[in-house]
Amino acid sequence: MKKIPYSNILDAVAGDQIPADLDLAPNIIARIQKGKGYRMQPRLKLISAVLVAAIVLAVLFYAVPGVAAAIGRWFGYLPGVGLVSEGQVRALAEPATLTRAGVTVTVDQVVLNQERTALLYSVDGLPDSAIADVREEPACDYRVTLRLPDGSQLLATPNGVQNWGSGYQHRFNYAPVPGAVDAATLLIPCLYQARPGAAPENWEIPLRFVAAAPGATVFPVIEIPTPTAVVAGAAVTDTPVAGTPATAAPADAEAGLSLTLDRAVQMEDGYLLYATLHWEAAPYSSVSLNNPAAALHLLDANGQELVYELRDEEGAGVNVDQRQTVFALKTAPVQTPGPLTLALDSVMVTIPAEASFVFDPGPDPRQGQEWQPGLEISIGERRLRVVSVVHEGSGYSVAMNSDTGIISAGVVDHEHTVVSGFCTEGSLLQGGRSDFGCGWNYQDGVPAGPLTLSITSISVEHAQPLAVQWTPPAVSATLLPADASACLTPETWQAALGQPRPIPAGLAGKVLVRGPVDENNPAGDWGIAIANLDGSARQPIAGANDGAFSPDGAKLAYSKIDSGIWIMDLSTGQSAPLAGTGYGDFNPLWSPDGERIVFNRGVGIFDLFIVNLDGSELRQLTSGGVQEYPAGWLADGSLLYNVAGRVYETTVYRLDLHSGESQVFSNENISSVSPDGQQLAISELAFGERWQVAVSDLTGANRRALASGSLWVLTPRWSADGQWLLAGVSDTDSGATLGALFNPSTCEVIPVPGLRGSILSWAQ
Amino acid sequence: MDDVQAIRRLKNGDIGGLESLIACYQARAVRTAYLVTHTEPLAEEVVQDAFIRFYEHAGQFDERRAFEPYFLRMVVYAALNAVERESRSAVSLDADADLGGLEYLLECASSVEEQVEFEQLKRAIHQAIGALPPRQRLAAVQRYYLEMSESEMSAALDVAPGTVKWLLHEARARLRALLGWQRSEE
Repeated sequence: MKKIPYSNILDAVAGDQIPADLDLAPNIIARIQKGKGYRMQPRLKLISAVLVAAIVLAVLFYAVPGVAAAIGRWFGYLPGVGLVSEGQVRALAEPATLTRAGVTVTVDQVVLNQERTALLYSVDGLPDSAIADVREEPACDYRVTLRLPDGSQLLATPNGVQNWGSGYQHRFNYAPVPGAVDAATLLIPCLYQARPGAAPENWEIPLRFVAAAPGATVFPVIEIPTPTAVVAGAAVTDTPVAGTPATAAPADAEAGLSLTLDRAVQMEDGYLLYATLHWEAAPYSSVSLNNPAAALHLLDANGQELVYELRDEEGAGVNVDQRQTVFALKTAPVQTPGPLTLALDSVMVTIPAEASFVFDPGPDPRQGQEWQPGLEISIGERRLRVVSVVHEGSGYSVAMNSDTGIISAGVVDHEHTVVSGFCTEGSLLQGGRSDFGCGWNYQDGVPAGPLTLSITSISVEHAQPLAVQWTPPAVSATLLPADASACLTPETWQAALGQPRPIPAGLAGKVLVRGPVDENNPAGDWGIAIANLDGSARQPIAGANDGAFSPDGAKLAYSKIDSGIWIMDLSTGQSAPLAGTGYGDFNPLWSPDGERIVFNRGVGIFDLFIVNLDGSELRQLTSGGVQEYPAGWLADGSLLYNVAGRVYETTVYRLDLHSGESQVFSNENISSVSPDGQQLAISELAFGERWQVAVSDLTGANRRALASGSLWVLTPRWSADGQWLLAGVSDTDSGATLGALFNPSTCEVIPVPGLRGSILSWAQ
Repeated sequence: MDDVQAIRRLKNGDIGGLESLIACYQARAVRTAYLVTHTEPLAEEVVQDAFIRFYEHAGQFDERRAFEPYFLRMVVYAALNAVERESRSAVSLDADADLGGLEYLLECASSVEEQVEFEQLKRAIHQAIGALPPRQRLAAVQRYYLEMSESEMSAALDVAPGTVKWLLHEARARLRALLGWQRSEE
């Protein structure tokens, strides 16, 4: 008999206690509209990461992953697999696809080496009706196994999930397949989250493996001679955070920290760099990256910061025995010939400590009982406070804090047998103070009498510039990014802000902007407002969620969550609901003749509807079972709309309103179409999680990137003559979003600092 | 059904994107929270707060990642914070402690053939979860309900997946050094 997954049982247990007609949306929307609006708060990113990492640390203390063995000579780098040794790699001979009852299962990739078997497969065409509503019934038991010719089966370890409207892509790792085995069968008894019996089951897909073909994607690995040019790092001085006396344990000055670049994987769009942080035995027991977003920099030959992403590659991690920490980072495309510099401002060091304190829980400690020792303990020049001790489980937890740079401390009871434990790290971002703690369980329950608890070590941030250089091979044409000639970079943006220019003659009109309600408080509530192009005469529109000006600029269509689409006559300021629309309708877009409104309707699935301004002739334009958003109109009167496909993929369709037929138009995320229907503004999510904008003609030709670097350019809107774009430029460091005018032809960028927020519509 | 466009809409400040996400995920999110809080009003409050927090920080969300696991991880931690704040209970020391009884009941329920017996076991499981300290409820939810694997942990953190894994690796190694424990690598 098939077993019920534990998750389904728990789902049923919880589901018994939750009302079936649960509807949180009204409360949530009401709270948002009363309170805070959307804004970016970049610094929270790090804080939340640190805090949550601390929690995860507490839970997963025993799930210590293996650190890879020393890396030898590599054959190459395989995407999705990592570094592989020469002669060990096999791959899927050809993608395997099977379609049954409209559902297609495709094994996209299998890579086999001596360490593991990595498999990537996808499912598409799964109808909504086949997805189990787990409130009502369990989904089927999802297992994906590999059956070898001898009948043995390899069990999967999940390694990544991506879901989209009609399918998903899952990545699994399996144990290595013996080299003599050149075939296997993928077994999927039941598709992920499918209702039993609602979709084809018992999939069996034969796979064939061959030696990795010369044409396979294998990126070359460049071994970098060791040692490379270490710019700094021989002498080390322990520099505590501001506000604390300078301190240097005697051994600090003798401890050597160094940074090396070990190898580089040359990819089409940058390099994957493997670097190692080395330390001498004393005085540190561990050294590792600290807050890499702020402390780890990659500079090109011109000293410009190059965007990177830290990657979780095999072999990366701290290796205490070898006194080294390996990390891997993927660079943005390298545009400038010359050396790259990898620079560290500071690292996290763990220093052995010798301190202890006595804690007396009394004769009869109770579960949950809390003591507040209030002890202050000096460790060298630093101090920590023992704030509280709590009895829970079969042990104690200790809460501590410090304002002298300590961000964690190890507390143990050496006198009794401890079976488990954890520690949490604090963050120095909270006004120089950090809170941290440790806890443990005793094997035989809490011991009687006073306990002597030892503080075995502390972790502190250690300011120590380290840098290393490496000159990549000559930059090839394929490494040049499309935005090499972008109009806007962080440098040109700063320069433009420093040299205010007037708005060009002929550009004026009204702008619908989403930004701070109080212009003097950019961190306060946000809302929708009409303003002049320079940001003056701002008029908030209460309750508005989005909106667009009519082509003649005389009216504004906007939506309210609770009552659908409204039309405002800008000459009088009076608004009236658009007949035929109601709760939940949103995203109005005017037809070019100003007579009709296209809008979205639906929950979860957003179809397109159109209605005349008098509420007549309401009709549904699309019913694709996915989310469809209007993007703009072409000169022939056809409507472009975006449909999200797989994650990171968008398909744009062109809808002929007369015939009702849609045809694929583009695969890029089109943000807006110029008023003459001849040019596109394309929003794209670039490397390093940055939104960028490009313009092109309808065929995608004559593409020009408007921005590069760390700035986000949001929601571009065209001027009436199609010569300018008005967009919000968001500085990811400060979080501020200011308006800016772009001329794609001349690359002029003119900040409009009075416009705060993103641009929804522009009427001239 | 598609989260990506909903999140893109949110990134552009469109609250309609949030409505879509609420409609899709509120039920599972409340059940997730309930398994930790064990009180339904608190679970709803946790989920409301989580959606609002996501709304405020949607600009930072990497839409290449699946929303559901990311959000449920956020909910489960928020639920833990909420229940600890409410009960002022302390941090449990061992995520594995006292889970044995629950595991046994789950195993029984997984192969039960009679509906009546299944209902009885569900009640017993409900009681068993309620008897656990909050941190152990968290562990149970992570392990048996959300079926979290370590690779999914990245989805719980608001940073690029590689960075998250990196943080975990580092934190664990540092912890071992901190405590002076010489555990073998597993």
